[in-house]
Order: sequence, then structure tokens, then C-alpha cells
Amino acid sequence: MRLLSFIVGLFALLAVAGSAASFAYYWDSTRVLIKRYTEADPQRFEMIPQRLRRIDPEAHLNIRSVDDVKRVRDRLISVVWGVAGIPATWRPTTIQRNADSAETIFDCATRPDKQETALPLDCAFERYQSIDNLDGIDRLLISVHSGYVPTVTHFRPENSNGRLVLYQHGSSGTYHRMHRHIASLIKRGFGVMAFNAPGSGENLFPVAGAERTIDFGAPQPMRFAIEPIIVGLNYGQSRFDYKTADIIGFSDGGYIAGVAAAIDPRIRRSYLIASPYPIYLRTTATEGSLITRYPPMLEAATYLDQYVLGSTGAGRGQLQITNRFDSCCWSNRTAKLYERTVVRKVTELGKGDFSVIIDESHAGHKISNFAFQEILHDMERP
Amino acid sequence: MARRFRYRNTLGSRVAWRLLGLICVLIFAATIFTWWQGGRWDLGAMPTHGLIPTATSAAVGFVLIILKGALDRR
Repeated sequence: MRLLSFIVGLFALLAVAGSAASFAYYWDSTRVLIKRYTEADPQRFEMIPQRLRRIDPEAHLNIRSVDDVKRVRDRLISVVWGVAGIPATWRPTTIQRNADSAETIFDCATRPDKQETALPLDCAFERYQSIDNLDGIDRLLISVHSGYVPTVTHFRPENSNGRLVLYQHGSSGTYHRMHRHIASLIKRGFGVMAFNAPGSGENLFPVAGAERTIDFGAPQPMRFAIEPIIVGLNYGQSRFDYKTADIIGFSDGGYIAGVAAAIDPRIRRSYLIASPYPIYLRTTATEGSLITRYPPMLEAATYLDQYVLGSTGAGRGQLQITNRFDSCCWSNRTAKLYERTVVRKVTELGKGDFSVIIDESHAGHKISNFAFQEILHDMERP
Repeated sequence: MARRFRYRNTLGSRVAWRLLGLICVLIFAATIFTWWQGGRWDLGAMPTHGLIPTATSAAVGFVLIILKGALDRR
């Protein structure tokens, strides 16, 4: 009996030690310390290479005057659509009201693509079932071109504050991962339109074997990413009378959101979270996904030009939040290198603001609660 | 010559095991709380893939401590 008690005690001690170690390893506050002090490469979280520090951000900014704002914006629009002007009258092809109702819901069990990384809306309704102030969920289908018909989800609040938030997810997984943040916005009265990146979630291309790959050889491939946002915004403002529209973009979605804010001044505030760094701050030529380094876009406007375009104007602004200890990418305090230059340019041009916050509260690739509170705080500004 | 270690079920050891049991309960509660607070999909301070090993080992530790207490009383 004594031996058995000893063995049980030994295993109990192991379990207690294991749970304490596991808690320290996974809990954000201690995980940051572990990740920080076990990282072999000092340039990942701690030091910014001298090579990058020596680059003058001003040299990567083409916008000099108010006239340049229109000229560079038009160039970007021309790359996206091949013509001048934003398609402000285009509307969704199909609108499915109350897609979460019993009559319209599809059977998730038969969906072959119901895994978390590609989760379709039909399999995610349970996450939105008990959200306070949610009136309904509408599904918008937007026919872009070449048979690509992305899905946009519109979360309608019961008591609206007259404001729309566009949420653009990145290339990994779907916006359903952010359902808690979406719920927080709806609870506060915001209407929310959520977008998956091209090739993510239900946004498949009609090409056998390449359903999840953007064909950059297709005409105006940036339309695949930008057009759903613009058409969704057209629909939201005309049909629901939203007075303002802000955009949040995460990861590669931060790049897409930044472009959308740069070309469409109807987007008031833009929030780029864990978003790709400008090309000149990347360590290799192939760093980042293809969409973030599509040559015609880079020729039309630099990243810093896009930040200025997204920030300038009455009531407009851009807030970038990067995760210093990001487990995926775009870590460190690198975004601080260009902050002052962009702020100075936006101030010179007149109204608008730009700022960068470094999130040190965790070591993941996510929109943390800290970051989300910063976004909400900024949205509350007049 | 060093004395051979013999475990005795003293008041001190019983208090120590109860403290360890309490630590298990606290770790379990803190894990569930931080995970639930941030949302189930890895937005909070405890990701789902961290919840499972942490909460499970804390629960197993607690059960084993209870079992050991029962064995020691016999």
C-alpha cells in the first residue's frame, strides 16, 4: 500500500509540474518571456539591422503634394480596374437575407471543406448564435470576373449606431477565427461585413487543382481582393444608410485593407494588424505572399504612399498595430522606422492622422485583446 | 552514512499535498478562465492547443492527489 501511495504521489508531482510548465509555456504573459529569451536570432525580436535603420523612409515616398494624392490614387485605381474611377455603383450579384435562418441554412455535414482552415459560413453559424444585438446574417455574392464569385458576410445589428466596419481576413484560415471580435463590434451597434482573402474559405477560383491560388496572369488580378470590399461598401451605404465605414485588416488582409483605404476615401479609418512590411524593409525579395508584392501595384505606389493615401483627409486616419513577438511574421519594432515620416507627410497635406503601436502582450499571430481595445478606442474618436 | 529516506504521513506532508492540490485547482481554473475570456479560437491569452495539455495535467494531478490522500488514510 505504501509503495502504491509512493507511485501515485510521484505521478501526481509529475502532473502538477507538467501543468505548471504547460501553463507558463502557453499563457501569453509567460510565453512572451520564454519566446523572447530562447530566440537565437537577435534580429527577430530585439534588434533592427543597421542596414534597415540607415534607409531614409522619405526615399520610399513619392507623394509630395496634395496634387500627388489624386495622381497616385488614380494610378492605383487604374492598376486594380484598368480604368479611371472606383466602381461606386456596382452591387452584389446575389443577396441572401438571413442566411442563418432555418429555411436557408445548408447542411454543413455534407460539406467537404468544413475544416477550420477553410470553414464555410454554413458551418460557422453556431459561433454567431448568441451574439447580443445581432439582427441577422446576410450572405452577399459578388461576381468579380473569370468566374470568381467571392462570398461576403454582412452581420446586421438590431440597434445600429450607423457605422459599418469592414473586416478583411488574411491568407491563412477564415474570419470566423475572429468571431469574438466581430461579436464585440455588433454588440456596440456596428454593422460588420467580413471578407475572406481570395482563395480562402468559400472564395474559390473555378480552376481545377488551383481553386485556392490567385492567377496573377489574369487581367486585373487585384480586383479579386479589392472589388468585394468596394462593392460591399456600395451596398452597405446605399441599402443600410451607414454614415461611416472603417476597415480592419489582419495579416495579408492588412495589405488588402490598406489598398482599399488608399483608393477609396469613403473608408474613414483603417486598422492594419500584423500587416506585411513595406518591400524595402523585407529581408529577402520573396518574403511575404505574392499579392503583397505584385509589381504593377508597387510601380503605381509604394507602401508608404499607400499609408499616406489611407490616412489623409478630414476625419480619416490609419492605425497600424504590429506584434513585436509575432510567431509568424512581421515581428520586431520595424514599423516604427517609417512612422515619423508618414505622420509628417500626412500633417503637411492637411487633415488626417497615422500611428503605429507595437503590441508586446503576446507571442502569437493574432489580433490580441489589447490590439482590439486600441482599435475600439480609436473608433470612438470623432 | 546518510539516513535512508522514509516517507511518513505527517501533518506537514498532508499540508504540502493539499497545497499541491490547491495549485492544481488554481491552474485549472486560471487556464479555463483565460481561454474562455479570449474566445475559443486562439484570440485570448491561452490558445486552445495550450488549454488541453494544461487543463488535463492539472485535472490529472488533482485526481492523483485525492487518490494518494485516500491511500494514505487506509
